[in-house]
Amino acid sequence: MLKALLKKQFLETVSALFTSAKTGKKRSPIVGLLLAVLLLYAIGAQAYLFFTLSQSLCAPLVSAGLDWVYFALVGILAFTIACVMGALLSKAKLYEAKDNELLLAMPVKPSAILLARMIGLYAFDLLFVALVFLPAIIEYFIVTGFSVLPFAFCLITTLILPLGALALGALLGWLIAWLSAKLRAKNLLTYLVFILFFVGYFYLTSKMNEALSWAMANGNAMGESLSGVFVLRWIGEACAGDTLSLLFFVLLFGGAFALVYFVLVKTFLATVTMQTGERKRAYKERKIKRGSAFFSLFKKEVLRTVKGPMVLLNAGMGSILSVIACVLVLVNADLLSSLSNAVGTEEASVIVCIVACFIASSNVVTASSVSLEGENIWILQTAPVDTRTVFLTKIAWHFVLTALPTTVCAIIACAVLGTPFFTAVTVVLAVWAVTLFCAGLGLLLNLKMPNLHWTNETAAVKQSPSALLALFGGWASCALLIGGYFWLGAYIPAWGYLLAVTALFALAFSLPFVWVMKRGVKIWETL
Amino acid sequence: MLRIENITKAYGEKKAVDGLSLHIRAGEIYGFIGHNGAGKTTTLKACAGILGVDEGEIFVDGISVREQPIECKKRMAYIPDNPDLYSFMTGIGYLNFVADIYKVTAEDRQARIKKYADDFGLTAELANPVSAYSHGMKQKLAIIAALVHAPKLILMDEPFVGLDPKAAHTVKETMRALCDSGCAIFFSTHVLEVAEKLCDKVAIIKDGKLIKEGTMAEVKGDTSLEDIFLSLVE
Repeated sequence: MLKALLKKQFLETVSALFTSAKTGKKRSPIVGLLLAVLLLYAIGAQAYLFFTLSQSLCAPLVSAGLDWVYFALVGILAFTIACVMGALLSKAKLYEAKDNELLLAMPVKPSAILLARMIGLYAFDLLFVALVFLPAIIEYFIVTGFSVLPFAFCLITTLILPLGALALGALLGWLIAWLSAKLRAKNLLTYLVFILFFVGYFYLTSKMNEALSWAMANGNAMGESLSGVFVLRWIGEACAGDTLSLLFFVLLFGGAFALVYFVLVKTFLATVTMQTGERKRAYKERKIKRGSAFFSLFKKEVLRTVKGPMVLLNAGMGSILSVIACVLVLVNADLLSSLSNAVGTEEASVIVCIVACFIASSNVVTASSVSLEGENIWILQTAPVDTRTVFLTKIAWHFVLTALPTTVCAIIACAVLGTPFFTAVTVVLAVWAVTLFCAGLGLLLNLKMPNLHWTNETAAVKQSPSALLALFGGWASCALLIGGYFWLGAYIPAWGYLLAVTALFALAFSLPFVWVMKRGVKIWETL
Repeated sequence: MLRIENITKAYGEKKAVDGLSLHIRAGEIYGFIGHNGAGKTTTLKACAGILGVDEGEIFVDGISVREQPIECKKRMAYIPDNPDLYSFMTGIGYLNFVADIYKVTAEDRQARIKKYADDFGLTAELANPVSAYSHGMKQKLAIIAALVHAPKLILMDEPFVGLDPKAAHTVKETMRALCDSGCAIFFSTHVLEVAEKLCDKVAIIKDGKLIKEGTMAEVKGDTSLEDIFLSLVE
C-alpha cells in the first residue's frame, strides 16, 4: 500500500517535468535534456556556492582542532535552509492535496497517506541538506585526507539531519493548517507566516557572513559558545567520527521525527477534514456595475494571484523581492552612495538597473498562468472573447505586478544615487522592456508546456518546467546586460546603453508576443 | 438554431463522433442520450467551440462555429457535467464576470441574477466564495451564469447531476419556460425518465454514431424510452 502511495507521490512530483499533461506522453528528449541541464545547473551553482563557503571555513577551524565546530556550523546552515523550505511546502503537501477525499475513501490508513507524503517532503529536505552538506564533506576530506569512519558518519548525518528539519517543518505546517482552518483571514495568515520566514531567512543569511568571519577568526571562542548546545555538538562530533555523538544525534532526530509523525497521525484526519473558519456572509443586493471584458479578465488574473497566497509567493517572488529591496535601499543608502563614489553615478545607475531587471525577471506570473486555468479553462474557451484578449490580460497583469514595485525600487535607488533625470528614465524604460520580454517568454513557454491537471496549485507553479525555464531564461537575458555593459560601457554613455537595452528587449518581446498571438491562440483552443 | 452537419471527431484511431448530423430548432428541448463514452460530451464540446471537429460543420443560428466562433459563443451558453468554477471568486463576483464577458447591461444582469438566484435559492450564498460551495451549489451557479446573458441556445452536459430534487424541478421548469420563449436547449442525460417527460425530441448515439432520432413519440412509440434505449444500444 505504502509503495503504491509513494509511487503516486513520485509520479505527481516528476510528471510535470517529464510528461506532457496534455497528451500524457513523454516530452521530447530535447526538452527533457534541456530541463535536466537547467536543473543540474541550478543544483551545481548552489553546491558550488556552499563549496566556496566551506573552503573559507574548513582549513582555519580544522587546523585549530575544531573539526566539530566546522560541521556544527554547516549543520546549522543546512538545517535552517531545509527547515524553511520544508515548512513552506508542508502545509500544501501534507494537508491540502486535492486527492485527500479520494485517498481517504479508499481502504488506506491515514497513517500511510501521511507517511507517503512525509517521505516526499523528506526527499525535498534531503536535497537541501545535501546541497550544503556534501560540498562541506568533500572540502573536509580534501583538507584532512580521506578516512572511512568519519565519511560514513558524515553520510549518516546527511541522511538523518533532514528528519529533524522535516519534523519541525511538518509541525509548523500543521500549525498553519490548523490556524488557517480556524481563522477567518487565512490568506493573511499565510502571507504573514511567509514574510516572517522570509525576513528571518534574510536576517540569518545577512548575519551568516558576519558570524562565519567571526568563527574563522575566533574558532575557540565559537567552540566554547557552541559546546553548550548539545545538539550542535553531537552533529559536529558525529561528523568528525565520534560514535557516541552519532548515536545521540540519530536518537534525537529519529525520535523527534517519530514523535511528530505520531502526533500528526493522530490529528491527520481531523486536520484534513477540518471545517474552514470562513464567515458565511449573507448577500445583500446592491447596484451592479458593468465592466469591460478586458477589465474583468484582468481582475480575474489579479484575484487568482492574490487570493492564492502560494501562487503569489512563488510566481510573484520578484515583486516581494522588490519591496524588500526598496526597504534595503532606504536603510542602506550609504552603501549606494559609496558605490556611486567608487564607480561613478552613471555606472552605478546601470548596476541598479541590472539588479532591478534581475529582480523583475524572478517573476514567473505568465509562465504559470495557463496551467493555473486548470479545470476552469472551459469557462474562457466557451466565452465570446478573443483568445488574444485573454493573453493580453495575462501579460498586462504580469507587467503591472512586476513593473510597479521594481519601478518604485529603481526610482528610489536613482534618487539616492542622484542619477540624472534622463538616465533615470532610461533605467525605468529598460526595466519595463525586460519585464515585458519575460512576460512574453513566460506565456510562450507555458503554452508550450501547460499542466492543467494538478492536484495542488503550488504544483502548477513550483513544479512547472515552463516557470523554471522562464526564470532561467529571464536571468540569462539579464546576465547579457552585464556583459553588454562591459563591452559597450566605454564607448557609449549609460543612458545610451540603457536605451539600446530597452530597444533590444522591446524587439525581443515582439518575438514571443507574435508567436503567442498566432500559434499560441491555436494551442489554447486545443487545450 | 443548432445544425450539426456530418461531424466526425477522432482521438487517435478511435472515432468519438462519427458522421453525426442533428438539427435543433428554436423552442425545442432536445435530449441526447447514449452510454458512457458514446460521444455525447465530445459533441457538446464541439458545439460549444471547445473542441474542433475533423470533418463536418456546426452552425449556431446559421453561423459556422469553425469560421466565427465568437459570434456563435455570444448566442449560446454551455454548462459542463462537472462545473469547475473560479474558486477564488465569490458567487456574485463570478456572475458579474460572466456578465461582463457577454456585455450584459447593468440593468439586465441585475434583474436576471435576482430572478434566477431567487428561483434556485442561491441568493443568500452569492456573497460567499465559490470555494465554499457544495457541488450542487456550483451546479446552480453555473446554470445561473449560463442564463445571465439570455442565450438563444443552451448546451447542457448532464445538468441534473448533483442537484437536489427542488433544484432539479426548477431547472426543468426553467428549461421549459426558456424554450417556450424561443430558446433552444440541447442536453445530454442518463436520466431517461427525465428525458422522456421533458424533451420534445431525442437522439440516441452509440459509439459516436446516431442510431435513432426524432420526436419523443417517434423514437419510443408505445414502449418506454428506457426499453428503446436498451434495445438499441445492447
